Amino acid sequence: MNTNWIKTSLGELQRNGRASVQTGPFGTMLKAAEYSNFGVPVISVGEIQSGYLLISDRTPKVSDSTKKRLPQFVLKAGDIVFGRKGAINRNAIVGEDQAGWFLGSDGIRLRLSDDIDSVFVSYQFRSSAVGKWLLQNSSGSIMPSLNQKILDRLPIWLPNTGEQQKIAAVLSAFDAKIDCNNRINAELEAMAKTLYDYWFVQFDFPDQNGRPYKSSGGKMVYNPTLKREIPAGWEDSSILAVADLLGGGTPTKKKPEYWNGAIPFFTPTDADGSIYKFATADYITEEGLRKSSTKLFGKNTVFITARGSVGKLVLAGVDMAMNQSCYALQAKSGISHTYLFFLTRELIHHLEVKSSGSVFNSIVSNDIEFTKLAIPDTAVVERFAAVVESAFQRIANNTLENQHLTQLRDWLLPMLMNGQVTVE
Amino acid sequence: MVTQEFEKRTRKLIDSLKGICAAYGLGNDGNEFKIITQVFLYKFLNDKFAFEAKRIDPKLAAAENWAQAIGALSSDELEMLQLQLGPDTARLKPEHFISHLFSRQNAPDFAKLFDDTLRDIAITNNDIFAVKTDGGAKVTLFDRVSEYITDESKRDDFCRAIINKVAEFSFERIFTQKYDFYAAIFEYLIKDYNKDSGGKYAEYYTPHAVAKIMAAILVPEEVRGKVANVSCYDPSAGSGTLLMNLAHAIGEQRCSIFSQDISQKSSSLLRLNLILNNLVHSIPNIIQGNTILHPYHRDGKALKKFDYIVSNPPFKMDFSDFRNQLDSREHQARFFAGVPKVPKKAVDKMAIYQLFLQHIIYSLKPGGKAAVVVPTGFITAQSGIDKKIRSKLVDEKMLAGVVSMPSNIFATTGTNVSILFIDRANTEDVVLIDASNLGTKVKEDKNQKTVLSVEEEDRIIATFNSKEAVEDFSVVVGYDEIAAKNYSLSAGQYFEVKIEYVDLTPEEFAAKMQVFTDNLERLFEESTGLEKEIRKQLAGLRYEY
Repeated sequence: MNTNWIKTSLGELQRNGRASVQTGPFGTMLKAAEYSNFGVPVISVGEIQSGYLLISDRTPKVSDSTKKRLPQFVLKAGDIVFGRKGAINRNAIVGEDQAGWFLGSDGIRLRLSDDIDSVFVSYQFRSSAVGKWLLQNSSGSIMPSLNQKILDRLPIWLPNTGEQQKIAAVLSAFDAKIDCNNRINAELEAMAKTLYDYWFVQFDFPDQNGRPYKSSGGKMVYNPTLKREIPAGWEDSSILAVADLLGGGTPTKKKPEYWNGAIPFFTPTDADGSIYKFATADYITEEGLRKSSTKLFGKNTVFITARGSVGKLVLAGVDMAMNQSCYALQAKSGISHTYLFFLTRELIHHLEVKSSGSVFNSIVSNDIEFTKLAIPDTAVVERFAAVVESAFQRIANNTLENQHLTQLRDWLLPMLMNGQVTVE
Repeated sequence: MVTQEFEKRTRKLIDSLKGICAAYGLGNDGNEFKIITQVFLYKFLNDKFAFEAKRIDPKLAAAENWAQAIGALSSDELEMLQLQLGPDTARLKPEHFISHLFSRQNAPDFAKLFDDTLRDIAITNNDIFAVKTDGGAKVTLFDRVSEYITDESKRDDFCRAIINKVAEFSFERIFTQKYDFYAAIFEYLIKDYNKDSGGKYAEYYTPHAVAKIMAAILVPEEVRGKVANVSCYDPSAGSGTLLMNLAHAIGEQRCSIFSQDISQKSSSLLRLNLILNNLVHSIPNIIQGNTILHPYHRDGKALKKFDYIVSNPPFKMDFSDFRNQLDSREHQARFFAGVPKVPKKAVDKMAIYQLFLQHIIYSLKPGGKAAVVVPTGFITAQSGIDKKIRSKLVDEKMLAGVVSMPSNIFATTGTNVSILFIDRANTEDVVLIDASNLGTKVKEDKNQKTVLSVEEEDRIIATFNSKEAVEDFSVVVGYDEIAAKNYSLSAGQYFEVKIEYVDLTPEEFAAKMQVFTDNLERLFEESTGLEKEIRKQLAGLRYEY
């Protein structure tokens, strides 16, 4: 450990006036009736992600009058917020545009004086050492929970302010790039989706003269199966007209030699919203692959989660195996995976609508085989691919890059925090 | 207001009878329900007799004490009176009257007198009031109820307590009441005894909503009063809720009821229900026995066919004992789609509803109609017996439609159910209704239950009967369309899927693409800058020795 670093604790910082800790309002102070549809978000453990705040439709809001009545819970830029119970090892920095948001009842807010870099402290609290300390020292029999007393004992190692800022800058550079990549991916996906809808749902794909087909008076024919008009020459068919449907399987867990190999093994829990998947929670061995009913699915295979978390789509970024709770769609020759991906999404949307009644809790192969969709002629699909494939390739590259950046950041983080690695 | 008052008093009578049973150690005893139902029935028949007798003979109505007045009649006069009574009224002699027993309650061996009296009523009226078993034995109206009390010394007191309770007020005023009144009383009477006992045979009470929807779709308003001389059948009748609703829709005097149920208890409950509902003429058609193995009702040698069939059959039951007997040539025509195999595990989960459903289809007259409660899984199962049954219904054009009910419409089971409507005269459109989103969730005891409001029930009925397609609620489809969808009867399968997107003009599309392009341009630049930043930061790292 570098001798310039001081070991202190959150309690000591508070006594010196360099930190203040505020736990969220109790139910008696902030009644559920005060939650409204307008105003600022209330930040509780559910909104706190690793390093950033994520609000959803379910995030409650409070109005200005509540903020005026309970000013101690109003957040400022640079505050660090923790969860008071549950995921207590996560924390996030309040950004400039999040100043004025409100601390929820199961949140804790840490505010530091100007000579301590809150980004640095936030990273330190995200290191595995501090995460472990928090879980070990937490109270609560069912859910880990924190209180003021526990936090007072929380150890903090501080180099001088300049050093703190330099370390924070290294780690922030990774996170900024990861965030930028995610925004690029979201933008590319939205663009591809817009194009897909315009061409294949609105039927305004470029006609012979390069003009939007339907809007320019392209011939539309009523299709009795689909009960709507589709462009002349298109067909009603299941998705099997453009892809092969395959199932998966799981090597027996009784044989450890089948597991922890080099082959990614996709299951519904791996579907996390990103289009491409390169790494999975489980891996199997070559032997495991041979001795089970799963096969190896090539890059750009569409995986559909069919049981557990249902109806999510993922494209294989590398060769992967898959368990029996999913289906795989492999594009037929001449069909682009980019088109297949969006067509499968359309299929899932159909299944969701049709399952009203029974809960949408599983997909079976019949659902896929008996749902009729409007299938275009391949020339249009090829033109779509020509535009969109490079965007998908970029999404894949960014996803893979983020995976590497995350690994590098998490590898450097503890070494930067104990002074093993320094910044010039 | 009179109705409410009488309903209250009747309920009070039932409660105090239960109280007496409890006081004599019969609470929760298997025999309690026999005593309660039989005593109630005795009271009912007694007062009904008085009511009818007074209508026939104004002298009796004017008498201060009608029972004494009847006692004073000569045997010829009494016979004359008996002859004039309608077929629904039990023939009672003066010594059968409650008032007679009441006046002798202090006699020694009163329990014996009480039992003898009830037995004598049962024997006198056996022709009409006895239920048959599929073996031909007759189950009489009354048992020797006091013998359910094990301690002989308590029997006299027990019977005295009972006769004092039933003598308290007269039912005579309620005979002018309508169907709904009796349905409520009946339900109250049996509510403690009609529960899932956890055994092989579970007597789930069919909810009102199901019974009402079935009757209103099978017998729509416009044909009421026009249907006559029809046969109504339930092969798993239970206490008869479905049959009562159906009979009431057709008109009690316009139909004959036929039923079979394996449970002894259900058969007595059903008999009581028929007596309460002016359907005494159908009692001889109530059969206690195994419908699947020994179907009773026949025309000559062939199984009898019916105009209307309603049923809420058991869904799952262990019938491995007689499964192989069913898989024989004799039963082949009836079980056209096959008999479920005995599974290796969970034999108690054998799908017996598949047999009931096939039995019902087989037992339907040409032009006949049926409504059957099935597990919702039946309407979409992709292979096996379920699918074969659906294919037959569709290919032979005998399906009227399906109503998928909300979950927990039965408080006792979490299984989602649908009502299948079969109509051998329906050659065209089929109505599929998804009512699964209707209803209000309530807690009943410890169970979650979904209750449909009257408006919601009426909406289902009106939509079905007018064959109306309502967005996200109902569809009207042809038989060939169903065949093309792998014979799925789930309404959702046929709903039109609206794809959520906004129609764009070419200009709007171009503008939107420009926004994407600009955003990406900026992000790519930012990305390049960040890459430089990362390179710079990484170059500044030093590992300390």
